[in-house]
Amino acid sequence: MNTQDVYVVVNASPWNYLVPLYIFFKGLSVGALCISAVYTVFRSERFKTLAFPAAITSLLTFIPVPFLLLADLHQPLRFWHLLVNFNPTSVISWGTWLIILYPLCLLWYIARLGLSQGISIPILKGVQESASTSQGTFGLGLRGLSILTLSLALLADLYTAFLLGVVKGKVLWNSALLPGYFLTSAVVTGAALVLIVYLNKKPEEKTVRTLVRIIQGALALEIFFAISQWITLGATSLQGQKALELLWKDPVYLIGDIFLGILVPLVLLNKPSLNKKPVLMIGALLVILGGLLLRFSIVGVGIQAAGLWN
Amino acid sequence: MPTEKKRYGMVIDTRKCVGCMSCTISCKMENGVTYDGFRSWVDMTERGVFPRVKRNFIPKLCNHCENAPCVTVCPVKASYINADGVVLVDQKRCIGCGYCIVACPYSARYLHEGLKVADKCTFCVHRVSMGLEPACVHNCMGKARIFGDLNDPLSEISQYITKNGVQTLRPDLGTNPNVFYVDAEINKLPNKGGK
Ligand code: SF4
Ligand code: SF4
Repeated sequence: MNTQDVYVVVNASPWNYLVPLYIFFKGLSVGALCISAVYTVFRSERFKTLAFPAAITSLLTFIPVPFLLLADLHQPLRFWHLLVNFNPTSVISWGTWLIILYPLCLLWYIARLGLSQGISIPILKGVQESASTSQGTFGLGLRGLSILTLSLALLADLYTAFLLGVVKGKVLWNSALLPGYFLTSAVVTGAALVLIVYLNKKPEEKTVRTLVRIIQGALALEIFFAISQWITLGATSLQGQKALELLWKDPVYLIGDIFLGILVPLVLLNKPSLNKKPVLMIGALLVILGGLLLRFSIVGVGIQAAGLWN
Repeated sequence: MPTEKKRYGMVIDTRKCVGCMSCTISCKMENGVTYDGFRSWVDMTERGVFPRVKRNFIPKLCNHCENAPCVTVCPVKASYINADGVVLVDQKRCIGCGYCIVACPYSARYLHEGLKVADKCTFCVHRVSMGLEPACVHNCMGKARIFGDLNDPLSEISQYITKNGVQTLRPDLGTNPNVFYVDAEINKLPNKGGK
């Protein structure tokens, strides 16, 4: 028995390119901070010279985030409603506070990290002065402060995965894999950007190699998440199969994210050495592009797939 | 006996729908719905193999879900359920984030181009408060729509539900819709030509 649509209405989604861009930049910031935290939280001396530039990269990439969020509101002048009408069941309500607290903590972390490395930051002079006393950091040392900042960063990144994940009837998003997938992609894009920044300074071979290894590991994890997603979508329901079909038909996902953003960089970043700087740079740029395209395809196809079933 | 508290709902008897779309048009006129959005519409599918083919009409609107995802996700509590069980949007509070529009599994919301806020069916509360029926019910030439208080066992809608088997859209999602269908070709197949 065949059923054919003759006329079906699907009201258009008001979400446009700003939403994936917002998720992407937030991910870049969080990923770069994770690299900085390798030194400040996990005390890897090899990342000592990387910690500060990574933290600054994290801050700079966060700058577009609030603007993208505001631009995405169709009533931007009412943004303050978010601050006075907290809805505990809304993921956006929690996310709003996370993206306020995270950059504040990040500034404090940068000031404290700069202080520990003898770098004075004129615009953060006051913060640095107060951070030099234990009261100024509420008794938190650099490690405590970095754990706090990293926790906020991870939550600020994860909330977008939950924002999508809790939406009923969107089979592509309703997956326990999504938070891990997004976080891995955030780490890999942030690390790739830090690699580009670091290669333009005075890079040390060993540090570059370790950083590239982190990127390769995260890319491998992304492949794992992608394949897990394909299997679960394809095996569980007809809705899942239709969503998977759409995902595979989407060139942004298959050619953009999977091929150009994961597979090609895995080849380019193989056997990293400072003699292959341009190759490493291209690899890192492709990784960042892949992360951006992943956000576009997951958000776009997720909405499109649900439109088949409403 | 009716309880004090009302719970408004609607039954749509698809056997009586002829697909004339007067509900869609009257809703647009009554509520100033913009060109590219719909509060109320009629989906059409064809089922069967020639020469035994049947066209089905499925009028759709906001289901005024008891467990409304749009209300759950609204970060500023602009989407709410009023005392009569009607899901509404406070247009002065809405920030136009669009989350509710994406979160509605029935695609029943849209962004009002002029007002820049989320908009959807209100069961014509402005008419109901004056003792009138919603515009789509009033203008339905097939009398396919019955509106009323689901908490009143003597109301026409409650009696209709008792006498006819009804179903709701996507009951698997646990949204508990207050819009019910009689004899609708729903919940069976994907919209896009599945087998
Ligand atoms: S149908 Fe959609 S808009 Fe209406 S109450 Fe349910 S979730 Fe909200
Ligand atoms: S668009 Fe308006 S009603 Fe919808 S979730 Fe955002 S603030 Fe709430």
